[in-house]
Parts: sequence; C-alpha cells; structure tokens
Amino acid sequence: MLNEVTPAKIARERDVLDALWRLFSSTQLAAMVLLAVALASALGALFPQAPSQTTRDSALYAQWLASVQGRYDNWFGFLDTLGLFDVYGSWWFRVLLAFLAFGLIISTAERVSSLWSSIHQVRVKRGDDSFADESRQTGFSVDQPVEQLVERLKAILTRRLCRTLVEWEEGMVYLYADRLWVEGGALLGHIGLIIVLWGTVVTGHLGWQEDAVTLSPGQSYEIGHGLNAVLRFEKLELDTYPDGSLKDYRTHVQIIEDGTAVEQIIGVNRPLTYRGVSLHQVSHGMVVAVKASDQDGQPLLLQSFADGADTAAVVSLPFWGHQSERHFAVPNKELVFQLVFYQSLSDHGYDGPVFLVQAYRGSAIEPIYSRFIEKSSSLKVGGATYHLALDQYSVLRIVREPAIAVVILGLLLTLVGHFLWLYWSPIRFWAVVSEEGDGTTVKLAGTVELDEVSFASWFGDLTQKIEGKEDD
Amino acid sequence: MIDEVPFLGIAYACFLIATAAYAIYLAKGDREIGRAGTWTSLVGAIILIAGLAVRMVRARHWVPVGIYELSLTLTLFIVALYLLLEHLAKTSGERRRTARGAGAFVMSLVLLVHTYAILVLSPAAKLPEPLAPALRSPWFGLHVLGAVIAYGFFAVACGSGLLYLCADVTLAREGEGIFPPLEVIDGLNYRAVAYGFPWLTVGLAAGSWWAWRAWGSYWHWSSGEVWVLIPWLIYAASLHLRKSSRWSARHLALFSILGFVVVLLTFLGGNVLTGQPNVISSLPVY
Repeated sequence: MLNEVTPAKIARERDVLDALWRLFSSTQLAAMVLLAVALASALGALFPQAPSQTTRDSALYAQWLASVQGRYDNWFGFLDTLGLFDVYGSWWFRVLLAFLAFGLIISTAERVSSLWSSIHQVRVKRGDDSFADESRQTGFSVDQPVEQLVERLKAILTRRLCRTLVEWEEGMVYLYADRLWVEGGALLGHIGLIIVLWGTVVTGHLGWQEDAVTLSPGQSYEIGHGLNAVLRFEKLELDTYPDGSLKDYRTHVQIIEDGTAVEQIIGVNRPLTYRGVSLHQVSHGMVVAVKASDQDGQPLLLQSFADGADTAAVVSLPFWGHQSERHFAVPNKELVFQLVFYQSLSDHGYDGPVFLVQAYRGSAIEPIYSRFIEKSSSLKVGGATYHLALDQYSVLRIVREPAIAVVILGLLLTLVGHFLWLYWSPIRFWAVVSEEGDGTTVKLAGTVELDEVSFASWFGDLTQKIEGKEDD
Repeated sequence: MIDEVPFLGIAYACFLIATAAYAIYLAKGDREIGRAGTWTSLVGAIILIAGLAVRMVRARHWVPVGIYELSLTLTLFIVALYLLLEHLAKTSGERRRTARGAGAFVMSLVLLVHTYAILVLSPAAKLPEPLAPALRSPWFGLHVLGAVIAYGFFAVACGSGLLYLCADVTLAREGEGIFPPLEVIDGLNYRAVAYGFPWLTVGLAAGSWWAWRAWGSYWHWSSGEVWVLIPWLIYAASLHLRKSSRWSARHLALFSILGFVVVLLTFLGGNVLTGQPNVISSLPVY
C-alpha cells in the first residue's frame, strides 16, 4: 500500500512540523529576517525607486527607467533584473515580508503557550538546596517572627509589581514571586504588529485612493467608487507669516449629493471625513484659466497640451512651480501660446506671482506677441480676444482606508507592549522562611532572563530591606 | 536680536572638556575627574538648552526642523539621556564606573554631532525657516521627540559598545585592565537599547499618524520613512539576538555601534548617500 499511514510516518511528519514550528518561532531566525528586511529597505532607499503610478503602466515604467539608465551605465540591466528600481514592489521583497509576518504569527502563538505555562505551572514549594541553580542567592537570619516577615516580604514584592504566591508547611514558608506580566508586554507588542499588518492587507484589498485630484476655480470632481457625490471647488485660502512665507492653507468645497450641497473645509493636517472617505489637502499652486472669442464675439475652441485633452471653450493650465511652462493651441487660428510662471521676477519689477505669455504662429520660432501678466488681462492677438486669469488651484487626495482604526489600535498595542516589555524585567524569585531559635532564617534566590546587572542591584536592595538594613 | 552662536560655542567647549575629563577618568580612575566630567556635561547641556531656546525664538517655532536644529537637539538629548543613565546607576560601584567610562565615548559622539551642526553645515542650512504648513501638527512634534529620544539612547548604547570592545581587547591582551567588568558594560548597553527602542516606535507611530492626517497615507515607503524604519529593524534584531545564546555580548556591542552608524547616516547623511534630501525634508509636500 503506497499511502499507508504508519505510526512511523506520523511521527516523521510530526517531527517535520515540530522542526518548522521551532524554526519559525526562533528568535535567531526572526533577527535574521529583520536584518534582511533592513538591508532590502536600505537598497530601496539608496537606489531611485519608480513612482507608483509608473509601475502600473509598462510604457510609463520604461520611460522612467530610461530617465535613470544613464546613471548606472553597464550595471543598469543587472540592477533592473534584480528589481532594485522597484524594491518594495518586487516579488522577493514581498516574500521577505511574508516570511516576517509568518514568523511573527508563529512566535506569537509560541509566546502565548509558554507564557500560559509559566504563569500556571509555578513551583512555589522548592527546597533551598536547588537555589544554587539560580543566578542570585543568599541566606541570613532576622529577629522577626515568621508570619510578620512573610507579610513584609509580600508587601515589598507587591510594591515592586510582582505577584506573590505562598505555601505553608510544617513551620516552613515557601514564597514565590514573579513579574511575568512583562512577558505579556512582548506578546502585546507582537500582537499589535500582527494587527497592523492585517489592517494593511485589508486596506490593500478593500481600500482605494485618488492620488492627485487637482481642482481649479469652478471645477467639479465626481468622487465615484459607489458614492454619488460631486466635489465642487469654491476657493483656496492662504495664511502667511509676516515675512510672506506660507503658514497654512485650506480649500473650501461644496459636496453635492442628491441635489443637496454642503459646504466643507479641507485643511493641511485637517482632513475631511465624508461617508467613510477622507479628503486630504496635499498641495496647491497657481493656475491660469484661458477663454477666447473671435471678432464677432463667438467663443473660440482651445486645446491644452495635456495628455488626452480635448478642445474646450475654457482651458485651465496649472503650474507646478517657479518657471514651469504650459502651452495651449488655438486650432482655428493656427496659434500656439506658451505661458511661463514665475513666483516673482524682481528684475522686471514684479514682486509677486507673474506669468509670461508668448504667442507663436504655426511653427515660427519668433513670437508674434509677448507680455507679462500679474493677475488677469485681456489680449488681442490675430484678431481674437483672449482673457487670461491667474488663480489658485488645490490638490487633494481622496482615500478610503477601511482599516485605519485597526492600524491605530495595532500601533497603540505595539507601543504599550514595547514600553512594558523593555522598561521592566521578567523576574522570578523564591524564598524559604523558617523558624530557628528566637529568630527566623531566610533563604532567597532569584533569576532574570535579561539585564543580569540591574537584577543584581534589585536583588541586593531587596535583601537589604528584608534584613532591615534599609527602610521598606 | 540675540544669536544662538555664542551659546553653542560655550556648550561645545564644555563638551570638549567633559570628553577629556571622562577619558582621563577612564584611564586613571580618579573620581574627582569623573565627577568634573559629569558636571561639565551638565553645564554644557544647560547652555545648549539656552542656545536652542534662543534659536527657537528667532525661528518662531518650538519644534526643531531642518538638519541644523535637529542636530543640535540630538546633541542635547544624547547628553541629557547619558547623564540620566549615569544618575540611575548606583552612586558608587561598578555601574557608576561603567557609565562614566562610557562617557568618554558618548561625549565623543556628542562632539561629532555638535561639530557637524556648528562647523560643517553651510550658513544657508543654518538660516531659520518658519514652520511649513504640514509641519504645524502636534503629531509631527511627537514624531521628532520620539526619534530624538531614541537616537539619544542609541548613542549611549554605541558609546558603551565601543567601551565594551576596548575592554574586551584589553582583557584579551593584558588580563585585568583599567576597564569596568564586561558584564556591567553589557548591562549598560542593553539598558540603553531597551530604553530607546520603544521611543523609536513612538517616533514611527506618531510619524505614520501625522503622514495619514497630512497626506492620507500612513506608509508609502518614502526614503524618509525607510531611513527611520532601518534603525528600528536593526535594534529589533539586536533585542531578539539577546535571547539567543549563540550571540555573544561582543556581537551585541558591535550591533549597537552599527545601529548608531546607520542612525547617523539616516540623520545627518541620508542626503550624502543618496543625493536625496534628509529624513525630514524628504517627506512629500510641505
């Protein structure tokens, strides 16, 4: 029988599973994976990483790769094959993260099991002859009745955040104390990280985001994703410091749903939450709105040079910064306009924002018209009138992050866990107290997993207090 | 208006004297000299606080931003946390001797960061800048505070790691030397890493929450985020390795040194390595 299940086979399979369990719960493997993730992350920070929008489009990705190729000469192909220009999206980085997450889950389960047995399987009654196995031990006599001494010892240990268990037997008192709740801190830290990872996975599957929603005056944006709501830009407000630099800004919008419009404000660090969707103020800038009419007052169709732009009666040309250029064409007139934006142009007498307008006929190199405009102006070029107005645009990010509360909970648990785990030590402590003549004999022993030096001092202080050499 | 430069100069002189005093204490074991190191460090820290206060009044904000203010704040936190750990050690005995012995190395790191801030950085990098809109958030303040406290503790861990390696080499060559016992130095190293690590978690968590409120994304693998995550991963690995019997205290001392080198690269030189702006300014939009 090929598939016969024999006790030997079961034992072998159990051995393999046990070995895998031990492997994934080992702190050594956890440390190695953490270091591997650190190394991979460093590679991602050292090499330029493809922007996320390019990785979803092979043509854009190829275009981006071509822009960095020159920096690496002959090494470029090799580095690209290793995925070093998209480390965080590469299969091997995801495998590393999956390995880390799996190890985290197994080691958490292992910690639960070992903490459970440490707390519940306690040996309170322990002969002082076995105390030599512990890292600290001492013995002395004190002039105090047994009951009184045990009560004092319990009080001292409780004040030091230890739980105490006592057993009495034939004139001997066995006391055990521990601070194993500290191990609970490590457990909490691990559980918190698992929750954070889970929240991230949930968001990856159920969340969505619209990265750069750019709204100019009068523009509207349909939020979509099942929400029958439209966002209409009202105005952008800017606050400045006395020196003129930007202090704060916010966008006034209307959210229109089922014919009802509600005014809302989205500010920097003050996102707007609307029906499970959050709207964040990401940036802002200057935009020129252009419309034109011919000699008879009829509107002319204009076409911006943005990707896929159709002809329209009004075009909005947002600028991305100082000296950025935008273009639009007037197909009926064979004219092309170039607009260059300047934050200020002191040499020409402009202390504030200004833009240069130049008109070109056909493929001519020399402009047929050139002028600086500060706010708004009407121009007459080639028999048509062009109205150009400089205004502010706002960039928003619209996100649905269904598991953000879960991620926050995970982060909080991780934080609390780390402080509990690392600011206290998991101590175990035993005492045997017995009557001897007029006094009481005390034998003490204790151990700690980490920070032996601090524990030595803790144990020394405790001994001094019990001996009565220091106040409780 | 009064300028912070004279304060920074006097603090620098104090730290220089303190470094020398701690080094002499380590070599000769003279307690008075060791105590002089402690007091000079304290005076330097107080003068640095005054200098930073003047700077913040000039810049009209209380959260350090930009490499100049962050370096000075890091200097202050390294000194303050080192003095705290020295104070927490017993008033006498090996723990105190160890903490003061590590002082020679820790104060050298203080000098390194302070030199970078006041002598290496260009005048343009020292110009006070008003707080950009996205930085006007208490979560950003908590993010900076968490990271700087953590880095301060890690500097102490690095100093104790260097002391450990020196002691280890001396012990191997000459038997008993001038250095404190190895296990006591290792204890200081552990405490500094253990006390610092949760604060780095505070820095990461507050930074994530701030990024969420400001840009709608709590993590997107930007270079700024990654340069804070890398030290977190290294110190998390170091804390895990403490539980493994295969890793000796010498390895862990090396880890503390490596970790702080990464912190310094992150903090001061992320832009040098990558040609990208440093941690704070690499965040998406201000």
